[in-house]
Amino acid sequence: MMKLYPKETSSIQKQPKKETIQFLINFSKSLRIVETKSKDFIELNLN
Amino acid sequence: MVRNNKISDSILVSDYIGGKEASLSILINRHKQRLYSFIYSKIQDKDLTEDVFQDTFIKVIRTLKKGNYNEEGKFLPWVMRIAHNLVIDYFRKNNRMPSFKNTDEFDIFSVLHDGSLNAENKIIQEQIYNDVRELINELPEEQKEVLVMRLYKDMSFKEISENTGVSINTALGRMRYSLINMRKLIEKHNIILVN
Repeated sequence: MMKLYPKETSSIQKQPKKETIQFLINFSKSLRIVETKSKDFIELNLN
Repeated sequence: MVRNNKISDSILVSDYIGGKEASLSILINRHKQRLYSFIYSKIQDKDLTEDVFQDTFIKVIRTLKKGNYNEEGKFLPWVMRIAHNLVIDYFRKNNRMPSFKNTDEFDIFSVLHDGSLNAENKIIQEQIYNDVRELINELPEEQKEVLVMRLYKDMSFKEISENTGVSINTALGRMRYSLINMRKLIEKHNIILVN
């Protein structure tokens, strides 16, 4: 019998690319947050 | 892997805040599928879903590193709420964008003028942000606390209630009064908050 609907997308496909995950991990490693005396935050990206 | 599954989100979050970068990787991998599916179910576009997923975790990373995270044991709902807000931002932005019709009558300036704020508008916008900050500082401490948690930290009223030690109704009331008081201050000082 002909299938009217395509096979449901596998849940394995519904996830972000490995590059995106790696970017986030690298981003986190390179990010330093410094709190100033006036209680503001400064972001330092140490690449 | 099995060992990683035994570590709760709250411990991983606390380890990450303490400087253990590997904990972030476990958190992302643990929740990536659910979060990605959630975003995709709203946006229905793979590339945009990827962008929103990335922006969500960038916000998560920044918030955790700033020490602004107070939701022990509720990491995923918090992340999902950030993603939800970013999806809303995406739709809002998208609705504002001028439609692009590739015809002979298409005028490029109809697209260009609306893309970003010009210098004057940027200054006005900055003034508006400053005015809002000053207005918030004028509020009574307990109202300011609720407003900041709700609007700047994306916390739900349930979480605000848990963090401030008051009931949800009290938190709702404080939020309501903070907005009423801000409106009163705006009227009193004839402040215009429109760009």
